[in-house]
Amino acid sequence: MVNDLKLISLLRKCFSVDKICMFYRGNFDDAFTDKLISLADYDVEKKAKKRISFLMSESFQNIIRHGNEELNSQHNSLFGIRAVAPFLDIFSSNVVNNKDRLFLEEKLGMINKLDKDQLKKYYTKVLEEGTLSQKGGAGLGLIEMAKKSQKPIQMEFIKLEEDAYAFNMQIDLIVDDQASTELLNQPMPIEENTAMYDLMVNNNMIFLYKGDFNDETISPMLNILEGNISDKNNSIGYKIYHSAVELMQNVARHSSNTMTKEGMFAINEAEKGCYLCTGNYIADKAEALEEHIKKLNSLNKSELDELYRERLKASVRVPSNNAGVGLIDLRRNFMTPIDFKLAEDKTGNYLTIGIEIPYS
Amino acid sequence: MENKVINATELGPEIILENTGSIKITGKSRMEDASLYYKDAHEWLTAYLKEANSPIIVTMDLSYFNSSSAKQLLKLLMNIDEASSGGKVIWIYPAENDTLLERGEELQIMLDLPFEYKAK
Repeated sequence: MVNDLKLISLLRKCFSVDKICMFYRGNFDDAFTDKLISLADYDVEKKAKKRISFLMSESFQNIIRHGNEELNSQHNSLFGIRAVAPFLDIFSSNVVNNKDRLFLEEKLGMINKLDKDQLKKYYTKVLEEGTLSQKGGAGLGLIEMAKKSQKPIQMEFIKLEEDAYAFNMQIDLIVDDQASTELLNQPMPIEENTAMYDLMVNNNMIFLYKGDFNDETISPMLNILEGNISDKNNSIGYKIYHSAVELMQNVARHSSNTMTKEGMFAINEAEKGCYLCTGNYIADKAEALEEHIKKLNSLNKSELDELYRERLKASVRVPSNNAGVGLIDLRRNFMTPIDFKLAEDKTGNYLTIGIEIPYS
Repeated sequence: MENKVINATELGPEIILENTGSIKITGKSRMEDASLYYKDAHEWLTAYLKEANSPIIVTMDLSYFNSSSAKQLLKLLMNIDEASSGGKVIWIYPAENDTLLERGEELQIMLDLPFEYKAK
């Protein structure tokens, strides 16, 4: 579990230039797509929003269309977005068979050579011919993606086993066309995100988010989580959801920056459930927080209940917005200890907090 | 005293405050800072308690509430608790969710108001 906290610390450095970054590994369907798109919708210029939604949903459809169910159950699909100025990179990885690989390689290779006008003409031609492929696509989605991205689509195929390839694709969307030519000509190489995929797989990480933690931005994430909790109406589902809410809001409450409440949130698969963790720079005195968590970890359920009531009641009498009981709830929800680690660097105190959620 | 309705949002519940002494809170409550969301309800209640002397019935039908909301709910109920008019709380919870039942019982321990529990 301490390793999960270390990983968050490591990833903080990997994503230090990312304004927003999000990776999800698992199964994809349309309902999920819609929720994820609303996450990327935030904090982007209006002009770019439409293109981003479109490109994301096309990438998803590509995952669904070319994904081989049997193969993908062994090798999870991955979807990621990263806002690294002047680009917004959309990365996807899914397993395809050899036939699809050849189709994609040829189509994308050809599309990448065309300029804007040629793409337009080619699009009309494919539309008129209407040659739908077996999987319901005509390559139109790929052409549309290329038209909107303004940069060649990056792709990579990695052989996994006989007739199974990881198809990695990256679209580099320009969101700041005023940036220098030098920057505009250097999108992030796809290999960086492939490496990220390996890192996630090796560490059983299924979800990662870096960005702002205000109500608007965490809402889509919580909606995704809500949708993924199968027994959300019973006690366990309620407590899983509650742990995630309190952890995420804890980032916002203790952020060192009052303007942007920046932090990271990750979900890892654990032996008998999952592991939730967050990381952020904190404004408060680290020692007091450390003492508080240590104390909570030493209390039993009835002592925690008593402390909760005492604290909540006292909080009503003071004008602060904070109830001060979020961490107590986190601890007493499943009675698993709160893991935490504090590290000081030149920016300040970085706090990582994690908790194991057993499913039964 | 006029009735007041606070419409539900993606983050907050519907709150219906009626001058007959009925307060209904329905839905989920998960905003990071709940004090702003409940501000109007607190103000309405304070004004109402100055005027009226009939008991207040609070019906809570919440599917979820976070710690920040717990503070605001307790504040509302403590206000009624301390008023001379008294009242009661009807706590509605999904039958399969023991945690929500416990959260109601927990609030009850902190108050003198009687609670009535209804599984749905």
